Amino acid sequence: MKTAFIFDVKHYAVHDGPGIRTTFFFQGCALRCLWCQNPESLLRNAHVVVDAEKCISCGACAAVCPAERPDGQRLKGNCLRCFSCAAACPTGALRLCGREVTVGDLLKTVRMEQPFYETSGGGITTSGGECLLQADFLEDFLRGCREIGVHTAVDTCGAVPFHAFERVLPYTDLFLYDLKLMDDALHRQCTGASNARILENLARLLDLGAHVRIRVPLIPGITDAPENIEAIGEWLLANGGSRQIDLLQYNSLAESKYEKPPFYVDEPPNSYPLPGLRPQSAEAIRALEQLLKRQGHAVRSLVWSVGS
Amino acid sequence: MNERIQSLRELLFAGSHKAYRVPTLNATILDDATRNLPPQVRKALAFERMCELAPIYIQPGELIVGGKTVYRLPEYYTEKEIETGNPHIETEGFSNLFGFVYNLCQDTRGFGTPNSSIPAYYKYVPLGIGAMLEKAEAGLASDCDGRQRAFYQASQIALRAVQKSIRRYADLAREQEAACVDDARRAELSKLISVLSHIESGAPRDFYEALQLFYYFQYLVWMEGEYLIPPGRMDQYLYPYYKRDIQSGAYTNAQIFELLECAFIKLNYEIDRTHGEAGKFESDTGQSVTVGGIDPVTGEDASNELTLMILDTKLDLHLSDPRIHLRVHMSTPKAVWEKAAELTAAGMGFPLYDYDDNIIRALMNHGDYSVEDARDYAGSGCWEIVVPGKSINRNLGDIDCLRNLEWALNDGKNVLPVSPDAIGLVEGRWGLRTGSVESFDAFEDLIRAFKAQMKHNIDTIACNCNNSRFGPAPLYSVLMEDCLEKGLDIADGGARYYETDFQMSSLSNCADALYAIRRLVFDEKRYTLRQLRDILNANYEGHEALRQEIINKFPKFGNGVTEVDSIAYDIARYFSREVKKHRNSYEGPYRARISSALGYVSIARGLGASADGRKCSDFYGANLSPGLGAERSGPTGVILSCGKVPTEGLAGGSILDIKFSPAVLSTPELRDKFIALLKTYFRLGGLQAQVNVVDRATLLDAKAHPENYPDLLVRLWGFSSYFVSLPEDYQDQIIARTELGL
Repeated sequence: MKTAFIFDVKHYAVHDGPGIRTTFFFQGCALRCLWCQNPESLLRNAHVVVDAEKCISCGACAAVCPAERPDGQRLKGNCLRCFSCAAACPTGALRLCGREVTVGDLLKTVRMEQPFYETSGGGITTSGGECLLQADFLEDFLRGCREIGVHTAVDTCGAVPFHAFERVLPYTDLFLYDLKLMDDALHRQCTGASNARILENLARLLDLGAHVRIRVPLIPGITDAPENIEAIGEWLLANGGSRQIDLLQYNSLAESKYEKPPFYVDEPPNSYPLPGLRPQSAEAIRALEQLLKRQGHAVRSLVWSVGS
Repeated sequence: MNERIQSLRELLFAGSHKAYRVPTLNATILDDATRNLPPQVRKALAFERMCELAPIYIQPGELIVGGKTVYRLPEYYTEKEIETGNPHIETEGFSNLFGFVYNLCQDTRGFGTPNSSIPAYYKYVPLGIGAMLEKAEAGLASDCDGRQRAFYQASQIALRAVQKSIRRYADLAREQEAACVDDARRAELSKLISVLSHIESGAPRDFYEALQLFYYFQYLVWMEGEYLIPPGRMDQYLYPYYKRDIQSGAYTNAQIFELLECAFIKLNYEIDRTHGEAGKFESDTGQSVTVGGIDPVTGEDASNELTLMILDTKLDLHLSDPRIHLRVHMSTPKAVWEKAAELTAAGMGFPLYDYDDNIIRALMNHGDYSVEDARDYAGSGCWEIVVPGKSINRNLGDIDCLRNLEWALNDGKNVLPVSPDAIGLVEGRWGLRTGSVESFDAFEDLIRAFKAQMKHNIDTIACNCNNSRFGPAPLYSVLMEDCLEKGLDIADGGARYYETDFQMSSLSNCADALYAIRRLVFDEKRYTLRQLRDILNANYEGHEALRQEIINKFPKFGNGVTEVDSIAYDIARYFSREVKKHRNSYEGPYRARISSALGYVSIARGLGASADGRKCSDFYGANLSPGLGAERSGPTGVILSCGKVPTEGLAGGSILDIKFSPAVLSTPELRDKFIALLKTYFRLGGLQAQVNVVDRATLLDAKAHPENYPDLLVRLWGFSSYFVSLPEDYQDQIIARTELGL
């Protein structure tokens, strides 16, 4: 049976496509963006996340650990990845991040939430990480949704081989396609990869007539530079014309996630590389909106913080 | 907000109207001639005296006048009556019979004060006082018995008292007019004089007159001693005037809007005097205006321009009263939904959404109501569902699920100490002896004991309530339908429906607790029931890891998990069936409702720890909502669990509280999704929902710096109140409720 690793399910997701949606967050990603909002997604399998504030020193983890001592430093390299500690922890101080699911598991949730899609014109969205890294599974899942009449959206960074798109294309109603930086050198510097494949995939996808919404995460001082936004708009005009574009206000909530790293791996950074950034003001976002609107695009902003 | 409204609002916050209040008139109507009159006639005479003597005032800029200034009727009960009054109920203020009955406001004889019922404004505002007096005269002239004669006499006295009051105001307006140097104000006063002079007897001819007459009735019923009196379906009974005046050009929309705001500001004058001195909560006035919904005869959507305008006044005024019940159904126009969602997003806790289809079905399932009356329901008090002009509603029984579970686990005893001379204790118990925990071999045995406790609780309160009667209420009675026709006071059965509502609280926490017990004791056999019970009674002392496990790892009601939800549904079904078995002393129904009122703090304080991980005296979830912190799958999970609660037997209502952060409702597109969310709740079976939209940081800051948040409104159990006026406990409970959304 095909399985995938997901690390979260967001209910009442209202920013990930039309209507009320359920968003499934898949693990693994080909990019390493400095501003990654879901660092826990970067590992492609299950792992344990530590939230020391919740620990009541009950010793339940130590009692069940088959390795010598579940002491942060000493365990490194020793961990058998049995996850019994997370299972035993009563408070959630040790929490299993990532679970292996079958298509049937996900469809069960979808069926339960179907009444909300029906009243709102919503559906499901697969996100991540990068959900297309598990295209084989995704194809089955999206087909399953299609069969029960559920609208499907795929949120992608585009940094995957194009054949992954081809697998899901027949069952995807909407692609939410992230574009970050048009300057390739900067793109490499900030995401660890070139934007060449991302743009090439997007061009092909648009060419095939897929329904695509462009999403631009506004990272202060990086992606929200007017020249970058303008360049994104120009590239789109040159590749088939005006589009629907969402500008995503910067969200600093993820910063705290970096303080609760997996305790036996070093890969995701243990501190947020871009500390202290503040969300853009409504006026600043409106100015960027205007820029794109002047180019003929349909623009919408997704704002998380209505305050200052 | 225009200048006039702004200045009236400032006067309200400054409390200028309070200067006219007098605690008592030091008057009596008792003398040798009156002493032997029937009590209702004496009460009418006392009311008349009050109308003659009460201080009156017209403040600068007011277009609608009136207001309660006296809080005690002149003496009218004889010493003998007071001595030999209703022997079954304690007198004075709240009677906490067994601690489980509330809203038993008493008169000096110990008789219940009618409340929470909506006068038949739709009938008597158009009729006018003169025509009402004629009806009373015709009644007197008819072949009537002594009781009916007394009723008609009392009615005449009460109606003439209203006329006297109006006349006094007209005189005051004339005085002010004569002294007024401002031309514009003089014209306003002259208009006011013509309005008052006409409605003293005549049927209102336009919107202004209708609204002013409504307000006289409204505040004078409060003066008579009744309280929690709601205005009812204002967008319906005022609409004919609105339509005529707009069509004829007599008034503009802006003028109607201003008049409405003037009247609505008036409804805020009593927010500090709600339940007498005991159990005080600012704005717990019960003054619900109901808008929207269907037409009682055609069943078609009845919303109109006034529906939207009334919602707009709430956005403009930013005041606690009136609270708004919005009746919605599947054909409610988009414009109404959108305006309502805009109001919700403004974060004051308005409106409360009532879903017609399911509420009317629940009412019809009761068998007491005609379909036209069921379709004409309106919100009263907090969330009570009553038929305007026809239902006399009392809101009495208070069944707490966690309390019943505590009794089942402790053979009928409370865990926290009870004063040995508390009323109603039998061998130190309020509960029933349902056996020691060792006698429960299976989970079903515990459930049986729990239900036996609940039944005992319901039966005992119903039995006690049935010993209580209402005191007479001359003006209130004459404003209810049927009383004038039957010649009977509401205390004597003059009204059409008499309902007694029982509420059930802490359902969600109790379902979570029962689930945990089943799993720990009967499924996984990790503890015996005695061991677990002892851990609870010791407030989890030494068992924090178990408590954390229950909190963090056990499924909870509010996430669409069948194993837990089904326990809650079983309890809800049992509760409504048992409540429905009773009939009250007026042969009316007992109706079941899921709500907590203030119990989530007040009752919770007296409860021991529960098996859902809740520690001794900690809060529980408000109304039908999941336990605090139990919502893990967002609003959809809450709605899946709460929407499927069997509501067909809950004619008293069932109220879901949802909380959102402001950003989740910040754009029209996001509000459309919120509307769809509510519609899903109602499609699943939900009856009522209310929404708090406020972020935690704001609440915390308001608690620390109250001076910066004088008009921050939050939704409590069934009304909105000023956050900074709340007792600290209640501020904390609101902060602790989960913020859903982002």
